[in-house]
Amino acid sequence: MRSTTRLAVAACAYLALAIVPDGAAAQQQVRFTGYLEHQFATSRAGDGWTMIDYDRLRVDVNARAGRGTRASAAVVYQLYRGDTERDVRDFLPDDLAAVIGSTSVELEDLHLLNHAYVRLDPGPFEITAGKQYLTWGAGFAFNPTELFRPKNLLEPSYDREGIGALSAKVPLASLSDVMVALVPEGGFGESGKVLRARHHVAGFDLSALVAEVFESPVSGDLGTGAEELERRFAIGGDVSGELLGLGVWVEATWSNRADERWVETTVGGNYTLADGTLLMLEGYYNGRGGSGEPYPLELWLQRLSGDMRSLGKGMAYGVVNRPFGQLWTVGLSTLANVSDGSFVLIPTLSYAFAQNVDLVFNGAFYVGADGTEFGGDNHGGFLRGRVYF
Amino acid sequence: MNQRTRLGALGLLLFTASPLSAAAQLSPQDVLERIDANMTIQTSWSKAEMTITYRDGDVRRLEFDSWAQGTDQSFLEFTSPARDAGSRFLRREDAMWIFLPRVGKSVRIQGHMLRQGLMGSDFSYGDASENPSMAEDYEAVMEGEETLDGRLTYVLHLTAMRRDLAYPSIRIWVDAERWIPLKEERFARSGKLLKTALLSDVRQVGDRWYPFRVEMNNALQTDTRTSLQFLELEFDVTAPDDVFTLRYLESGF
Repeated sequence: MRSTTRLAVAACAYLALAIVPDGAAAQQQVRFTGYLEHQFATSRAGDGWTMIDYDRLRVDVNARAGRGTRASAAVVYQLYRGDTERDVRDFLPDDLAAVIGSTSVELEDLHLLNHAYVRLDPGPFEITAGKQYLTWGAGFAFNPTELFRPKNLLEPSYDREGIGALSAKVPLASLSDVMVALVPEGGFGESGKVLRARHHVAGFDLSALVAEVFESPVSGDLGTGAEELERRFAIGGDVSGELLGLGVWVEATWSNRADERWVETTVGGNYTLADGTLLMLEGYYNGRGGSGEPYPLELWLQRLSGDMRSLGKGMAYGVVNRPFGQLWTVGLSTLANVSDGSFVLIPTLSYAFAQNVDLVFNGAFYVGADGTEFGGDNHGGFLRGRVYF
Repeated sequence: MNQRTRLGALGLLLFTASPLSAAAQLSPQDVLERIDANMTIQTSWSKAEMTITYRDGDVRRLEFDSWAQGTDQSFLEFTSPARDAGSRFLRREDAMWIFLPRVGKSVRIQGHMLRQGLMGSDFSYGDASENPSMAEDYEAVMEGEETLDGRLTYVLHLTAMRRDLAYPSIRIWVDAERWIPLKEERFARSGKLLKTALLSDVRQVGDRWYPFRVEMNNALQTDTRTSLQFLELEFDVTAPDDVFTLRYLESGF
């Protein structure tokens, strides 16, 4: 991010604080919350098993400095131990792994601000300056309209990370508003710009989005590609509501980046049975995806880097989740590449051990031939404990 | 939009004092209208504690603040425990959203999801959000009189006239003097008992009577029971202009 643009965002954050009325200080409320999480994970790599565990501390601070002004931040410290260095070839099909050299990637300890923003609501509009969540879209696993920081598809509901931005939201009605956001990246011309409007009508939530973002897609020249920013223009939107008793949603974007134009679409539905069992099915079409194996190396690397949400053109995500009593939840979800027939099964067991303690077991079992998206034998799982405070 | 509120914590019940010795001469539908008339207000603000008691004796407590306006607008924010603090809910007419603070996103709760337990309690999202007009949404049949906790009650069986309501039928025990339900049995379409609500700790607030405690027993999940206790409750207060908006849901101020 160019320093001048960063400075502009910081100045707005300062300005937002500076114009808080004097009397607001007396009304200030500060709340500290957070959690300590430990996770032990194992996965198959080559002929052996890797083991990685981490400790993650997150501390959230929320301050209301009188009505209309709020500051929010979260600090995350995450320390890894174990087999933190992995060879990219472990995640590639045998034929591609054979033609590239050893390229290791390392899980590095995290010390970061998950988000840190000031939000000011002078009345007719709301301004947010700083690292903030730019998350939206009706899809559960796949959100084509989200242009920053992709979800972890194996655990879509895990914490998200904010992105430095300056945004303003203007209400049009109680359930309608327009949001504009500037995401500094280089100078103004190279910064991301988003315009998003949403409305609630006839029982349905609708939104429309126009965006210009600058991305540096991974090339097939592993380790040698210069990270040049490419302009991406995207338009999209989503609709969600209820149809014939089912929860339904559609989300789509059309994108144009360099010489490439593509469409991404998500269609989903869910239903809850009388005993609380949740059933969900979501389909995803990725116009950039391949029609089946063999996928080129560039596609694999874009997928691993998060630039692509899927290798194949067609993906499906399904969930069955059933509570047992108020403390236990058993779930089974799957991600499937319908283009090449591979899939991963993800069983989940969660237990609310105490008022502020959660235990979660999550597995991942890959099924598919070598060369398919989920064809590797990187089976694995994790056991996670989280204590909130 | 109906600007009255049948307020209640999580769909609980509100009423005004209105002794009526001639109750027995009223039709069942008249009784419902009297309940509605006595239980409707403009706005309310409350702070409440929800206690979930498990069979093994484990007890978990949640606290929340809530606003309500009319029969179809409510806002609720959990303030404790740490696990749930900052989770917020907005209901507008028949639509409901939840804000997930660690994801930074509001999510629509579809009609069928209203059956799920609210924060692991025996109250469902539907219990929390649904606040139907008794007289307009239910057809009533008088089943008799009973004494409940020393008070004369009229027992009515209600059948929903809308398919989208969480409970197709309900049996209620109505205080014959104060015109508030003291007990509710909520049934599935099959006639199976789903939940029993007991309302107690009736206090006078201004010119109204109000049950400050509700205990909910879920017949399908017998390992827990959940009680809701109002800690503070104010009627006819001025709600912030934008509290019932998506922007407030996501901003929290």
